[in-house]
Amino acid sequence: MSARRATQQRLDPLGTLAAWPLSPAIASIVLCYSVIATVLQQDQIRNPLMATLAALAMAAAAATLVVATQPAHSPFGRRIHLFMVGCALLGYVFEQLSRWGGNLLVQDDFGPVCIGLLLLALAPYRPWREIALSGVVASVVAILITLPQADAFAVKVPVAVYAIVAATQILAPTAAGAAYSRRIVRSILAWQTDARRAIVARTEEARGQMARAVVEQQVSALKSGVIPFLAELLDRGTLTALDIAQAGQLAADVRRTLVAEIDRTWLDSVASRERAALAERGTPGLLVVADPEHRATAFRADQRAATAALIGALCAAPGFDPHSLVVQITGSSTPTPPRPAPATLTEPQLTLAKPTKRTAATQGTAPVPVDTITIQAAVDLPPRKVRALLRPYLGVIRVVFANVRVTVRRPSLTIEFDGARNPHEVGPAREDPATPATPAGVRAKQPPRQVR
Amino acid sequence: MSLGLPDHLVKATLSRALARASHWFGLVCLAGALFSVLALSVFPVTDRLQITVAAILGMGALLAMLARWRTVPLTIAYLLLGAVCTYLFTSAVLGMPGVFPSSDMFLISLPKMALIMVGGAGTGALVGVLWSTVGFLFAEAAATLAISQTPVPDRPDIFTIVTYLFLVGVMLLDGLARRTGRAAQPAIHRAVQDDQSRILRHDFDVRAIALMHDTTLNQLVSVARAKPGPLSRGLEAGLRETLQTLAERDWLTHVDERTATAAGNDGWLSSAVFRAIDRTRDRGLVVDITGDKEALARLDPQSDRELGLAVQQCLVNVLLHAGIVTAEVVIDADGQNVSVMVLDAGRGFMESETGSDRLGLRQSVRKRIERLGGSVVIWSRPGAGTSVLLTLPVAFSAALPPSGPVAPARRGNSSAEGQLADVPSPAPTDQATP
Repeated sequence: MSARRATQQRLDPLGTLAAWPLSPAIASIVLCYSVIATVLQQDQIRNPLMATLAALAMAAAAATLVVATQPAHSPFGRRIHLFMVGCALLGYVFEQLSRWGGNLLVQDDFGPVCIGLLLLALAPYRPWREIALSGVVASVVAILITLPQADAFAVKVPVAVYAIVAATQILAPTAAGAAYSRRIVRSILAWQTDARRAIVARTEEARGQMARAVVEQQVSALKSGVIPFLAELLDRGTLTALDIAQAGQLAADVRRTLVAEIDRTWLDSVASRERAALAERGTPGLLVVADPEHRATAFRADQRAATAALIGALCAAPGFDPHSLVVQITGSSTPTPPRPAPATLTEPQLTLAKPTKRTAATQGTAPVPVDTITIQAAVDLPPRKVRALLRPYLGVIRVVFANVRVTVRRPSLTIEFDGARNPHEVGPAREDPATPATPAGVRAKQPPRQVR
Repeated sequence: MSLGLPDHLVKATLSRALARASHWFGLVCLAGALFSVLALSVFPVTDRLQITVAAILGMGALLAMLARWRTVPLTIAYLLLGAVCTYLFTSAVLGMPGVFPSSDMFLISLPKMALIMVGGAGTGALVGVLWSTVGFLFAEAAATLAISQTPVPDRPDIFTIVTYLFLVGVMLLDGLARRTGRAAQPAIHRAVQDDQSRILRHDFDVRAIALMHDTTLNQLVSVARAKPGPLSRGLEAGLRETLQTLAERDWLTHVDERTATAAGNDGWLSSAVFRAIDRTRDRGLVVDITGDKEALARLDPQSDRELGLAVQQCLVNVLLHAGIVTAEVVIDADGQNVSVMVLDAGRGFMESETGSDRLGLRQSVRKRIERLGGSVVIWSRPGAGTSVLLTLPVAFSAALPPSGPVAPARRGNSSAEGQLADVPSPAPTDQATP
C-alpha cells in the first residue's frame, strides 16, 4: 500500500478499533439533528415530500457510516466513501429544494453541518486527500445552491456571507478530519520505519547464533549414521555388497529428510513453535497444518506475521483444547508458482514508503488466484468472550486479508479468510543466495505427504 | 503492515494529531470570519471593520505558529489575542445598525470556535480539555461583553457550546478508550520480529540442505553405484573430501559467510543485558547498541543478571517517562570495569525532584548496582534527555565469597532468573569494595 493511500485503519488497526465509538456517536448526532431541524423549521418548508426525502438520505448516509466503520467490515473502502458522501449531498440538495424560496437562514440548515460531521468521522478510515477533496466538492455544491436563494433570506447582508456560512460549516470539520488523518498516518509511518530498521538490526544480531544452530542440527543428524559409515569405508578400503545396500538405504533416508525439510514452510515453523510453547505450559498438543500445495510460501510478510499472531493468540487462549487446532490452506486455480528463492536480510524491506502502482496493472487481466485459509479450533469460552479475545488480532487480519468469516459455536471456532495473490507480484526484491537454494535432485516429483 | 503504534507512543501521537485537527478547524473558522468581514465591509461600512480584519489576521498568524510550536507562551498569547479579536469582531458585526436581529448568528460563533480549538501545549486528554475550556470561557466572556454594548438581544450561542462539548468528548474518548487491544500490540510486534527471524533461518536451512546434497548425498549415491571390491581411487578421494568437509568449520562458511568471519557473538546474545533490551524492544522501543558488546561476557552470572535488571529498569523509564521512541545503549570496558550507558533524548528530569514514590531509579538501579560494588551516575536536565552510566567491576565475584543464591556456574543458567524483573534481590552484601 502506498503512503498516499495510507489510512490509520490500515496502519494501526488496533488504534482505530479504540476510536470506533465515535462513528455511531456522530451518526446519531447527524440523524437527530436532521430530524429535529426538519420538525422545528416546518414553517420554512414548502415541499414536505422533499423534506422527508432529505431526512431519509441523511439517515442513509449516517447508517452507511455506522455499518462501514464496524470492525467486522474493515477496511473502509473508497466506494463506500463515495456512497456515503453521495447520500449526504443528496440529502442536502433535497433539503434546499424543500425550502426553496422559504429559507430564512442558512445557518440552521442541517445539510452543511451534517456533511461536515460525516466527513470528520472518516478521519481514521480514509486518506486525508480524499476527505479534503470531498469537503471541497461539497462546499462548492453548497455555494452554488445558496447563491440563487438570495432573495428569500431574512437578514439583509451580501449573499456572499450566506455562502461563506454554508461553506465554513462543511469545511471546518472536514479540514480537521483531513489534518488528523494526515498527521496520524505520518506519525505511524515514521514509527514503522524506525521499527522495521530495528527489527532488521535485531535479526542481524542473532544471525551468528542461528547459523550455528542450523549447522549443528545438520551435523548431528549425520553423526549418527552417515559419517561413521563413510569413515569406516575409508578405513577398510574395500566395498562389500552389504556396504552398497547400506549406502543406498542411507541415501534414501537423507533424501527423505532433506525433502521434508525443504517442504517446510513458515506455517510449519509457527506450528512447531506453538507446539513447543504448549508443551512448555504442560499441555502438549497436536497442531495440524494442511497445506498440500505449499500455498503458504506465497504469503507476504505482514500476512505471515498477522496469521502467526492469530495462531499464537488462539493457542494461548484460556479454554483452548490443545488437540483441536487445524490450519488449512486451499485455493482456487493455479498451483503454487515455483518456490521463491529464500530471502536474505541483506536488503531491508523498507518498501512501504515508496508508492507502488501494481493494482492498476492487474485489473482486468486473468483472475487473481486466491488462497483460502481456514483455522479451526475448540475454545471452551462463551462466544462473546472468544470474539472479545480475538478482536484485536482479527482487526489486523482484516486489514491484510479479505473476506474474513468468523463462526463461533461453542466450543468450536472457525476463522476463514482469503488472501488474493497478485500474479505479477514477485514479492519484495530478493537476493539470490550464495549457494543454490534448491538443488534439482533434492525435490521429490510429488510432495510426499499431505497432512502433518 | 500491521505494526501499529506501541502503547507508549499512543498518547503523544493522538494528542498531536488532535491538536493539528483543531488548529485546522480554527484556521478555517478564522478564514470564514475574515471573508465575512470583507464581504460585509462593501455593504454599509463601519469604521471598526478594518481593525477587525487586522485582529483576525493576527489571530490566524498566531494559530499557524501555534500549530508549529505548541508552547505554553504561544498558547496563552493566542488565548488573549483571540479574546480581543472575538470582542472586536462581535461588536463590529453586531454593531452594524439594524442588520442582525439577535446574537445567535453562526457568523458570531466563528472566532469563538477558533478560540476553543486552541489545541494547546502538552500531551494528554485532560490538558487538552483544560486549554479548550479556558478558550471557551474567554470566548464567551468577550462575546457577552461585546453584545452588551450593542442593542442586539443576547441569546445563547448553540454552535459554540455544541462545538465545545463535541471537542471535549472526542478528546476524552481518545484519551481514555485506547485500552482494548493493549495486550495484542506487543504480540503482533513480536510476530513480525519472529517472521523476520524465520525467514533468515529458512534461508540458512536451504543453504545447509544444498550443501548436504552436494556432499553427502552425492557421495552415498556414488558408493551405492560402485562395484564390490577395493575402493577405486576416485571414490576414495571423494570419501576423504566429503568427510573433511563435514568435519571442518567450513560448514559455517557455506551456510553463512558473514557469521564465519565475525564469529563469537554469543557472550553478548546470552547476556542478561541483551535479553533486557530485547524485552523492551517488544514493547516498541527502538534501541541502538554500540560499543564493545563482547565485554559483557566477562561479568560473572550474578553481576550480569543484576546489570540486566538495572538496564531494563532504565529502558522502562525511557518508555514510561521520556516520551520518545528511541534509546541508545553504549557498552564499554577497561581492565577492571564494564560500563553500560543508557541514553535517551527525551524529556529529562531532576533527580532531586523525583517523588518518593518513584522507586525505579533509586531501588532498581542505584541500590542494585552499588550493592555489587559498582557505581551509577545520572545526567539529566528537563528537556535535555537523560544519560545513566552503570559501571560494574569485572572480577567482583572472585573477590567475595558467593553471597546470593546464584551458583557461580555457567552463565547460561542466569537466563531463567533474568525473566523476572521483580525477583527479590539476593541478600545485600556488605563491604562491597572491589
